[in-house]
Amino acid sequence: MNVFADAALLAAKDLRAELRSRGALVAAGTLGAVAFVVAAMAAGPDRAQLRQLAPALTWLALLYAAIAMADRLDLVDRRDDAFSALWLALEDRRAIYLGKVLALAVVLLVLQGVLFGLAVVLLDLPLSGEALWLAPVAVVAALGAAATSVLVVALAGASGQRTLLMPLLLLPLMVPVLLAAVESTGAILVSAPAAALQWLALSAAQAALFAGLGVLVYEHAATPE
Amino acid sequence: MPSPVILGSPRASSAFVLIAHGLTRLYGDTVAVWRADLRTSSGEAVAIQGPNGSGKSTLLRLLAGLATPTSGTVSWAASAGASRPKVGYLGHASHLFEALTPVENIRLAARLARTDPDRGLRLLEELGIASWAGRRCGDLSAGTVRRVALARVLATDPDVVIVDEPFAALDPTAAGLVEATIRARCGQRLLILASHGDARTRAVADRLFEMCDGRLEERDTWSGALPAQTGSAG
Repeated sequence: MNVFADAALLAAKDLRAELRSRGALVAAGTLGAVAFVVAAMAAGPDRAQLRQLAPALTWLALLYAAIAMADRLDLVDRRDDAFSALWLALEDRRAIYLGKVLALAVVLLVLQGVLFGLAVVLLDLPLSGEALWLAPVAVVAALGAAATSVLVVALAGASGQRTLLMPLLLLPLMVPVLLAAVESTGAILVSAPAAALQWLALSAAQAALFAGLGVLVYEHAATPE
Repeated sequence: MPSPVILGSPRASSAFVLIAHGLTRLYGDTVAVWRADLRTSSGEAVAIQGPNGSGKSTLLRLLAGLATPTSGTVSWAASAGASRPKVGYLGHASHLFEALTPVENIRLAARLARTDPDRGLRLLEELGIASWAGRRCGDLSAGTVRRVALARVLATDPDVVIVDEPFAALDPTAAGLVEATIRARCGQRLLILASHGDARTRAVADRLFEMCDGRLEERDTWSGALPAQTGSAG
């Protein structure tokens, strides 16, 4: 299965590049922290209201991170036309898409850990044993966001209207995975993990749909021309 | 000038014949390449020379499979058992990941091409840039990056080597190292080089082509760079 081995190599390359710059991670982490602080100040002493807002604030910061990181990962390859070398080197070019999805999902998972840690501290988020249910939610949401973002960035780039089309296409397409993540996180935090399952299924369906589409069309969308 | 280290002939690869027929590439009304015909095979070194904007770079990208012709075809004939050739391409850009070091770039390219990464790393010594191996490519000078980029191409052990301006941004010593490496490493491969008209490129080549206003013609001798007309792309 050379395609998966190549995808792992390319994901490691992307993660190494991001670790050296940390640009998107720092930006998204800062955005999350600022959003939490502003929300805490706005809510005042009403801790219950703050806890209700916590999942939405956390996932909005992650939405921003997903978009920024997907764009950045694409630019890593486009700068100095490194993409042409990958294009010629790979027997199976689907590895480029799969590698980017894997790298972006890993970055989003790390960021989720950081943001939930901040939310516990700044928003007084209660954590019980049932918070372990957040792990599958985080994994599926990261994969769904990554599969969608990487494909849309490639399609927007191929159109020649990247700056205009990327937010126009990507933000609406991210609504299902964002909504599912917010609702399932909210359910888990009020100790109703069973209610999170249907939302988790929606998120998984989006991840599967866009991963399948990406494997099918990425090579045609992301050409070196 | 240090002699290049000969690391053995290219892998026991198949012989390939490149047949480009009627190759044309238009950008709107602009003619980049017009009905170019070229037939060449493994073991040959072809130089394509011409002024800025004559269409050389576009022709190289078409031959490498990185651009689609408006009309015409690029096809490969191969000896038994072979399919498509492995193409190593170095254009005006470096094709390197600037956040990675030369060593990391070469290891990645070699692993994706299923070749020995150490072979590529020895190329850094051959090209006189081993002392820069641990620095990020984004921090290196243009001449050093150019040599790292050539090392990356050769590390993939390609059947076909296509290089645009192989001696650009290089001082005479570095250009000598690159010329020696190309001679040592590309003898059995199909080599296609493009330049504005420098003597080193002609010295490496077996066959000489001139390109002007998108038209490609074979020459016995270099007639000198012709002025490009407005409206052509390169």
